[in-house]
Amino acid sequence: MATLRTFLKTFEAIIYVERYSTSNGLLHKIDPGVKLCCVAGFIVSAISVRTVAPLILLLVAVTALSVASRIPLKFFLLRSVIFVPVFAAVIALPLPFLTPGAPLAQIRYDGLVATITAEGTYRAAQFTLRVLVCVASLILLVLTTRTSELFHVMEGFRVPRVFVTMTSLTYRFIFLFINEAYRMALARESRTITGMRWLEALRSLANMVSTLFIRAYERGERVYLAMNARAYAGSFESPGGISIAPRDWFFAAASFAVSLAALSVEYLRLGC
Amino acid sequence: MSEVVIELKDVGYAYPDGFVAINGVNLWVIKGERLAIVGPNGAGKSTLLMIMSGLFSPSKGNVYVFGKAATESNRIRKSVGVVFQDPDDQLFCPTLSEDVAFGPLNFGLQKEHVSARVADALRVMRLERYKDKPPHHLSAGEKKKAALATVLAMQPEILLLDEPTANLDPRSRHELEGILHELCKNPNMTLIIATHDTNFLPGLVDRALVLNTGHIIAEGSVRNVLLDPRIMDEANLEPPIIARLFHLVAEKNRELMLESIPSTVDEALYAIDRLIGRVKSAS
Repeated sequence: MATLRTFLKTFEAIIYVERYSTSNGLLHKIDPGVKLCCVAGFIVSAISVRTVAPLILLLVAVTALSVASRIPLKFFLLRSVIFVPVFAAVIALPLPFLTPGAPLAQIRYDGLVATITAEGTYRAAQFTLRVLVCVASLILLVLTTRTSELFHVMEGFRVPRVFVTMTSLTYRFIFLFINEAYRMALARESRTITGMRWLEALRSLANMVSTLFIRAYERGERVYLAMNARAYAGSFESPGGISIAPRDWFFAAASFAVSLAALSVEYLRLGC
Repeated sequence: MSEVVIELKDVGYAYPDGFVAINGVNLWVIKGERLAIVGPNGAGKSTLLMIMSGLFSPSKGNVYVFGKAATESNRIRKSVGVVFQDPDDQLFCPTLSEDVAFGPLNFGLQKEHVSARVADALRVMRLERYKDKPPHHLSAGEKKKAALATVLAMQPEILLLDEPTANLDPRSRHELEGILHELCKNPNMTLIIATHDTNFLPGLVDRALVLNTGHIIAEGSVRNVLLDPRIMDEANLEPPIIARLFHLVAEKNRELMLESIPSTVDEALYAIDRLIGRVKSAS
């Protein structure tokens, strides 16, 4: 149960992104819509290239932007790296063994031989780096933009309103439910004298999850009532508008240049 | 003649699982009145507020708000504001200012009018500095005030408050009481408070009704209802703590012959002053 509590608190710390989004760094001053377009540009560039050099260029650019936005470098890199195994491990790990090419090393175990190839290792590195650039770009966006602004940008880009509303409500209430689950885990722990066996712990976890579901359902009903009480008609009206300043255009041009440079490094080199 | 703003005729409400929360309730509220609905947990107070606001349709009987049947019409939404017991139910937007703007925007007001209403509501609640904060970063007291701000921005004529002092620390509670007293200075504002906490009601409300197991068991002035130990005992409630203290003092010292049992700090102060004066003049 202590493990569950640790997991819940760690999860909360990971998804809590507001700590730096209210700072006054470079990216904080840029219009969220422009920022989103620039980040999309980095991601498109990253998935369009097949060599490591342009990916390194993009990663350096994203990291430099995070530093200019007063996000501690260690925090930014750690946060970016945490998510990489989640997205990259399943594909990247087998690549060195499955890709044909010049052998680098061999692993022997109980008569079985697995060969690590140079090409496979390069592809694994390239894939991991690509994921890292994409994840780091998104994290840069999230860490330098208030979540409310992100939801407005999504609305502005005509993302279906039901999706924006659901995402917004999920972000609003996820912390509440994490805290509720944490309190439930703590209460259970306070009544557990000896350690639980594996099956007991699993059953107890299942009970907790089902209780949490019921509470979430009841909360949803009450929130809907509260929305109705304030004349909710099926959509969240946005109070703000979009204003793009000259510095936003300058930033957009600079970001576009970086994305273009990454593509140029790739295709000029291939063309040679 | 006083205008009746809410009228309930033989109203009953049963939840889908068959539990009857309200049964045979007859009630009217006049414009500008301050009414307390007191009762123990599970008495049906919150359900009654939901019915009064038109959010729940009664299983039987009729509900009229401003003389019209209470349905989910915009007239009721604009006129009746509900502050829910748990502010987390009521604060669902990414920032506080968006939450406060939610109701006025749904009424189709111009953005500049919405901004003015948001600024006003946040100023009245002294929450201006939290306007860009996500609601989950607020303390319990701030959340309660924020929930009230979201409703005040709609400029309702009738304000329904469900357990407004629940989960508040003494300072937040005191601050909220002050805000409610300020709101009561508006003679057109009708205030209905559902609570089991009787301590803050004397001096704030004019009339009280006691709800128990879905029925009204007593109704009358604060003095006749909340200060009557028999009624309070029947409803598993307690009179305001000041009244309880003076009841005990009066019972133990019948020779003091208290003119009336105080229920507020000011009344208690006055009674104590008079007692001290009598003791001094006797000696």
